Amino acid sequence: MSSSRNFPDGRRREKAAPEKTNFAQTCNLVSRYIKEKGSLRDLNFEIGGKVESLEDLVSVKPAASASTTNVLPNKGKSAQPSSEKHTSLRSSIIIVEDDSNEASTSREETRKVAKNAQLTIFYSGKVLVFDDYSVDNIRELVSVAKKGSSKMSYGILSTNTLQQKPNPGSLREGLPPRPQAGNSLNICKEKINSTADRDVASTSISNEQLSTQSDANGSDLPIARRSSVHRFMEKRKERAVMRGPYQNQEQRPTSSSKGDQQFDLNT
Amino acid sequence: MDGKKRIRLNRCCSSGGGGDGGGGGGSSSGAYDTVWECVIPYVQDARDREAVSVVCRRWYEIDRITRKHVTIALCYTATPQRLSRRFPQLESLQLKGKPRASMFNLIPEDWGGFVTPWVEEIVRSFGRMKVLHLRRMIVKDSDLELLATSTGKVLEVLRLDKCSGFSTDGLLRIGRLCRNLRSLFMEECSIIENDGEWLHELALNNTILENLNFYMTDLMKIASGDLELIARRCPSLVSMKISDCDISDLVGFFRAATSLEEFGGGSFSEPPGQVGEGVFNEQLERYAPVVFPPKLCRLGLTYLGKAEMPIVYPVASRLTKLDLLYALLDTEGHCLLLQRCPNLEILETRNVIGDRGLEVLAQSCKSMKRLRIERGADEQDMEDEEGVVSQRGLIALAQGCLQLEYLAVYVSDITNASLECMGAHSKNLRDFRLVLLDREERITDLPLDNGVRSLLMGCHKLRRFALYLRPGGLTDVGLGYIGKYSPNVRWMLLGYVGESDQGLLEFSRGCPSLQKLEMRGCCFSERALAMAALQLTALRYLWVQGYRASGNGRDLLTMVRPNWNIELIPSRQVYVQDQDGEKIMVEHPAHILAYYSLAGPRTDFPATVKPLDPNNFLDL
Repeated sequence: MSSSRNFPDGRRREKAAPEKTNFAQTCNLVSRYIKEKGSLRDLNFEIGGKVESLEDLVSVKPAASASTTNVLPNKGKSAQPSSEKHTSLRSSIIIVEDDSNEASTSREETRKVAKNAQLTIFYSGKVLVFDDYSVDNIRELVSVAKKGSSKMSYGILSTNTLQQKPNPGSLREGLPPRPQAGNSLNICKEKINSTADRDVASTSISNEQLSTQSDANGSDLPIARRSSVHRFMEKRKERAVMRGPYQNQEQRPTSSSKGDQQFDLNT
Repeated sequence: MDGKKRIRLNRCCSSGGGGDGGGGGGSSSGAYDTVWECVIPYVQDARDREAVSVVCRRWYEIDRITRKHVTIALCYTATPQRLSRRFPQLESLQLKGKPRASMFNLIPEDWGGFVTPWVEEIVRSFGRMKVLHLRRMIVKDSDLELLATSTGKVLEVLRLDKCSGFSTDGLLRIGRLCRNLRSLFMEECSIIENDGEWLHELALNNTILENLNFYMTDLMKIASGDLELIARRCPSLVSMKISDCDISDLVGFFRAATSLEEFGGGSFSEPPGQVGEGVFNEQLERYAPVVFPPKLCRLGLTYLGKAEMPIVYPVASRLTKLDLLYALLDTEGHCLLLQRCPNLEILETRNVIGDRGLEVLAQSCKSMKRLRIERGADEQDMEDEEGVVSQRGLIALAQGCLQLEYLAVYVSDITNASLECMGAHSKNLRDFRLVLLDREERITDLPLDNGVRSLLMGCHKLRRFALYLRPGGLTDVGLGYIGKYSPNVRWMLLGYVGESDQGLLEFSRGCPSLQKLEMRGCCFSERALAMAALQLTALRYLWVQGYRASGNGRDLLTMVRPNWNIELIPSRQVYVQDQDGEKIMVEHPAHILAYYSLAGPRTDFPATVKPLDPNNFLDL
């Protein structure tokens, strides 16, 4: 569900964890290719030709981004996408501002102002896609990125993305909204080390409002029992009451081995 | 998606590339679209489908008109109209209503989850709805009637799973009009019982029934003759799970149900008189004529006691599933039975199984895949006397049952070593749920930080994870481990873990796949909960009971964002029966429920539920 996809360095891991399928990743790549080239037709390769899989078609683009441990060889020359759109800010961050994003949005969407477009961030082997990002937000993001990692904080990004970003869900009829705010947090997460994290936590929110030690609150909540088992327990009790003294109480001394013989069906 | 299908798709991709594979270009479609239309229906996994739908507009459209099944994990996250607009050709729908906590009597009965608007839309827009699965929803007789009269000829599967609000009158309509019904499921439903006519009607009108389930309902007016009639008329009947009905009355049913693979429910009469010489044999004589059908391999007999256990022995060796949740077996009874079940894959029982029973299980049942051990009686009486599960049982289980995929267990004692053992051996574990009971004051080895870390690191396949401890059971460091080492976990329940808000925040920096989080009895503040909700990138659903409230919920405003519904169930007082059957009042602390929704705030709030409206705080 998350719009961040571990690619390409995550591919090997994906095999160990089949849950996030290669298929989904491949679809993501096809989508990006279509957006860039207009359609798959531009590939202009032959039926039954050299290209054998989607990965082959589109693996080039991630190759342009950082840390490529597992990029497949590029067989179809014509599949080489142009990389002019990639704006390298730092050695490992590439931001693509993509205007041709109509493809993935639904018909029923209410069209946003033309200034908004899809934002794709390549960072540390991950591709993060954000729908409908405004130019203003991009400027801010870029300026933040330029300032360098140490100054980034949850505060800055989360506020921006949370309060200024247009409604992410409205674009995707029937699909759960993408957790964009979370993803932007994800970006920072990879940039700052744990000590920085702590600084952030202490600066962006007032520490007094966070509990620093455990609190007895709620600790008298009894462990709940499944209602079906609970009902059974009550019924069992009724049966036992109806029968009088519970049989096991008297039976217990005779123990198991003897009991086993008693209900041997062969006798 | 499996490899075979992928290869197929990739080939199509290559050939389709010559034409208009995209649609983004807006040029002619024709033959290549046809290719996609033929291929995409083979993609059935919901996640793969989602990936398809965002590739391009054309694929979105193909997915839209070829999607056959949708699961809506909370019925307030979308409107019925939106569903029919988006997927007009649905043939199967699963809807869930009340939060999971309702299965533990923690949610007000009138909370919501009404199926009526959905049924209306199904009748209006989905002419081919074959499968309807409703879970924890409120279903009225009028809903059932509408379904029966409008979709009766099409409906093949109706699953009412822990639903309430309807009576046998509604079922009568279903039984009379839904003649193509293959499966009728009502397990754990609260049904108002007017009469038993519905079952008779079902027996008269249906010849293709495969599953009938009213297990764990309070339906009493069940005629065993109707059950037998169903078995006679429906040669495909493979599963029958019923309410309490004496097993000795089912001899005819079992004889007629030749295809039956699963049976659950029933009841055994009280052993006559006081226990003495010959009582066991007398009881057995009563049930000796019961001969289970030849294919029976999944069994759960309510009130099964040691006296009647021998009737299970003839089929024990072929059992793959055994449900002893509602049996009257003690630990020894478990041991005797389990050692005769070498092919068992699924076992459900209470902690009366004990460490000793688990050791027998580990030794005898090597194919064990799913094990659920519910919490039995607290007071150590009846057959629960010896019923204590601890690290000893867990270690035996981990070492003995290597195929274990699911484990849910209430333990009375625990150690880090036992969790480490699970991490080392249980490589197939996908779902792990552990509750530490509060009966024992002293626990051998707390906190469980390192054990939990080892478990999470060892069990790579974990998708679901529940850990319910007690104060001091897991430190903030341990909570951080959970965040860090559960990359694929999608659902999590945490109870009494962590020491402070810092632990929660550290936790929420991880868990990249976590979609649904439930927490109970933790010490976290509203502000920290809200921040965690923002930081968990995949989170769509959050339920919390037992937290440090800010009074009016103001600190929850931190997580206010578009499409994120926040609802509160303020603390309330509920009357329950105590152990002696007397009514006592207990305080139910407040709940928070927050979830993504495309439908906006819901409109059917009962008095017990309050939406958190940010506008109310504008003046602050």
